[in-house]
Amino acid sequence: MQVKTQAVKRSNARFCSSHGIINRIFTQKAAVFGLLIVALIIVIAIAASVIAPNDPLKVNMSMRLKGPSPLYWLGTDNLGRCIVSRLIWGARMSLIYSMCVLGLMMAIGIPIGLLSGYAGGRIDTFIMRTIDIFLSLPTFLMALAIAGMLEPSVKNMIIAMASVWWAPYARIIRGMAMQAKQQDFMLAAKAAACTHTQIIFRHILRNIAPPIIVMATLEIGSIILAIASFSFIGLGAQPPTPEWGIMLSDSKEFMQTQPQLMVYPGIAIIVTVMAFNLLGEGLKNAIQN
Amino acid sequence: MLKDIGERLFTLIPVLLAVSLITFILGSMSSGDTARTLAEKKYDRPTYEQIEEIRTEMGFDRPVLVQYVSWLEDAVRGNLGFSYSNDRPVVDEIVQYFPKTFQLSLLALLFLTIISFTLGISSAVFSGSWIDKISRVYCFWSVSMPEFWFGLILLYIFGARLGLISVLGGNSMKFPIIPALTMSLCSGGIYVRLIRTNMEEVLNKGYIRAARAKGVSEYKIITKHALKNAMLPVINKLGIGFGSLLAGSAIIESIFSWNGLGNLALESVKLKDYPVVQGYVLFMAVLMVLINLTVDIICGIIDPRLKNV
Amino acid sequence: MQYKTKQGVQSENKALEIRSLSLDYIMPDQSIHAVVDLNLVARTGKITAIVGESGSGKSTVALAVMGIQDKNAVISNGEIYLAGTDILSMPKKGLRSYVSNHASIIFQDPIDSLNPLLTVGEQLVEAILIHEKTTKKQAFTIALNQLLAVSLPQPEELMKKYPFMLSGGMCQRVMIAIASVFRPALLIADEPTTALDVTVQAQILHQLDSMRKRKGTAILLITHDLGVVAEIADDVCVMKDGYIVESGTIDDIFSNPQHTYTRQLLAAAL
Repeated sequence: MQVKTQAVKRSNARFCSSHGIINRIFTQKAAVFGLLIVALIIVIAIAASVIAPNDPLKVNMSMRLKGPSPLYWLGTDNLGRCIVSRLIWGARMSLIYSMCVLGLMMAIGIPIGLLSGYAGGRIDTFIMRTIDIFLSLPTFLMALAIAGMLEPSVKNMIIAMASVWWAPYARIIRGMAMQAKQQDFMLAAKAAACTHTQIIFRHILRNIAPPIIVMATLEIGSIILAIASFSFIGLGAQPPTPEWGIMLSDSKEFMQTQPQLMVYPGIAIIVTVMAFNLLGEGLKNAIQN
Repeated sequence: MLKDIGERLFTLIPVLLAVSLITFILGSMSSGDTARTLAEKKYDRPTYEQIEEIRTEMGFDRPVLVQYVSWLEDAVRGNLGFSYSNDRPVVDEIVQYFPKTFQLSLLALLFLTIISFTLGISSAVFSGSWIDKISRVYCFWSVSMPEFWFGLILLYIFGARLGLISVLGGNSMKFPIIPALTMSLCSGGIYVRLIRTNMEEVLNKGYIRAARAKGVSEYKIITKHALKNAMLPVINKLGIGFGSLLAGSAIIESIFSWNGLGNLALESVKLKDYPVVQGYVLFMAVLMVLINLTVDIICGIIDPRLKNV
Repeated sequence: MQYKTKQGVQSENKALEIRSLSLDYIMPDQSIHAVVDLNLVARTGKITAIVGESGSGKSTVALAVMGIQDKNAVISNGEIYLAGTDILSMPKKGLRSYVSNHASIIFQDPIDSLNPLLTVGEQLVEAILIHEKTTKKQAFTIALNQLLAVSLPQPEELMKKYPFMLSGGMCQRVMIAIASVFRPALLIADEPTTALDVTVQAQILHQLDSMRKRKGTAILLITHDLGVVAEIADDVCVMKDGYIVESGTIDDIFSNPQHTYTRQLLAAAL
């Protein structure tokens, strides 16, 4: 028992020292590299309207499928739209969508996980059973069910993804909440007659916030990947939105004649996902050691 | 053992009910559109009355729960309704298209198992060697690579450039080797990592040390003593992985124009052919449940500790 | 291939002789001297005890003798003569077979030392087949006798059982049965009773002692329990921070301890 509490204390100390974590990230070259690219992508996404040389939606049928030129740096697509501008706006779209999914996931997963871990007993059992159901079904299937039975749209895709991905998230948060519940400061809080809400929000949530943030960073890469996939097969963002998955889907038709069209959005996706994954791995290593 | 399986099957009924209810409610939310779509098919430019007539005929005006119960009754009897687009029974559609998806997913699972076990085991055994480094790079590549983009690239190389497969589709491929490779390569990373970690953990266990002291050869240590132990959690994950391959094959099927169930489901989404989508989701859910059950049985056979539980 | 062989009359009754062994654990940011210039002899038919607190390097010595030390353990100096041959100068290939033919080991955690997915029988027969050229059937009979020899009842039933079905004491007896399937020159018992109930301890120690008498095996007993040492050991080495601070016969050490650390240990035990 004593050993266990000590271990909990140690892990808690680890979670709390966010300064240490940040320092440790900077000792890892790959993580710093990832961080720089992520920062660059965020800047591009925010300043998309300033940076993009052209309107990403402007159709110009006389400029279809043209090569690079001073006005269109990477040329134009099948509707004469500027590829660079669409890529730049695509960064904004990817980040906005993934933040929505992440936010919604947290909004569902955190309260349910906290409740399950804090309440315990029957509520916990019921919630865990439900989570198990969600975990046994592939993400893609549920997303297809929701997006397919409702209208395929960005909104429905975001709802679909969040409604599936909250489950593993909630389970981990439940575990952390249970761990936090057993610590000494909880006894102290109870002794001081704090209400349940006070305990949950002021004490538990604050204690498990840093690892939650790390988990979220680790997820962004796969969320961006999934968003692009869904948009690619027509279940997510709809044309003419400048989104990387849609750009790839558009390019498929011109594979024989204009293979470069499918290179640019693909590179944009993989670079972004890799950058977030590098950063996430770095954060994970920092929190583990 | 049989009794166990029976009990397990029984507990799975709520899962299926939940899934079917969710898909049904989602479907009913869009039934307004459906009546119009059907009416448009029948009357070209339907009047309001004609749409309402279709609505009554199809039973869309009844309360959702009533509709659900009658749908469920049919479903239990093996009737999942009729496709809106070609009026064929949904069950027939599934039976016709599923073998292709199964073939693709099974091949992908085979590749996935070969890749992940080879890389996972060798990187754990020769940790720090060149194969370990290769497998690390592969893992990172695999979790970051968009499957559909990799599929497009392979389609370009093998289809447009080498002409080995048809770019425009049709079933020119006898075996879906390239689609299966795409799927397995892009999802292999997590399994390589999983096997590597498990194997490393097991190789540090006391019984491995004891077996070494006993004089067991390193080859036998790995194949007989370590692998079985390291495999248990992996089998579980591979089961879920097979489920994801089956359900996730839609993207790859559509890229390579492989006429499977996933492709059918995607087409049906575009055509708003809800009974087919609904049937697909339910069928897949049943399949997932059966896969999970099979995995549990396999684990029970391998691990004697589970038999008494 | 010529191995360094220590000649002479003395080697006859020395199952194990370690000469100025030094071993370091190499970590990413530092290296730890786990064993420093260690000399030790285990005589045939006698029980030699290594006593010391945890982290003093006792178990490291045991693993090094068996040639199964961790990957990051580097032997920087010394010789380990097992049954007359220096195993450190042997090529890696023949090492495991040579060592396992002359020495065996039992560990602190008996349940952890048996593979959870193989039956007792499978693990016992495996060991027998490594050492004896017999058929599987004969090996099975030998295995039954081995289990009887460590006073385990109903051996036929036991052979079919999995380790998780047995108690710690039973597992340790199975380990002893596995360790004594042949006539090892040396048996290393690394904290053999620490994880067991007090009532079982005496029985396990008795098994070890009877094995020594029956087969003339030298036993290297690694423990932190001076009570156990006093009961059955012939020679004692006291180890601290990788050094042997004092060694001698049991009477020397217990009646006339020279080193302060030995005295502290004794004082703490009494």
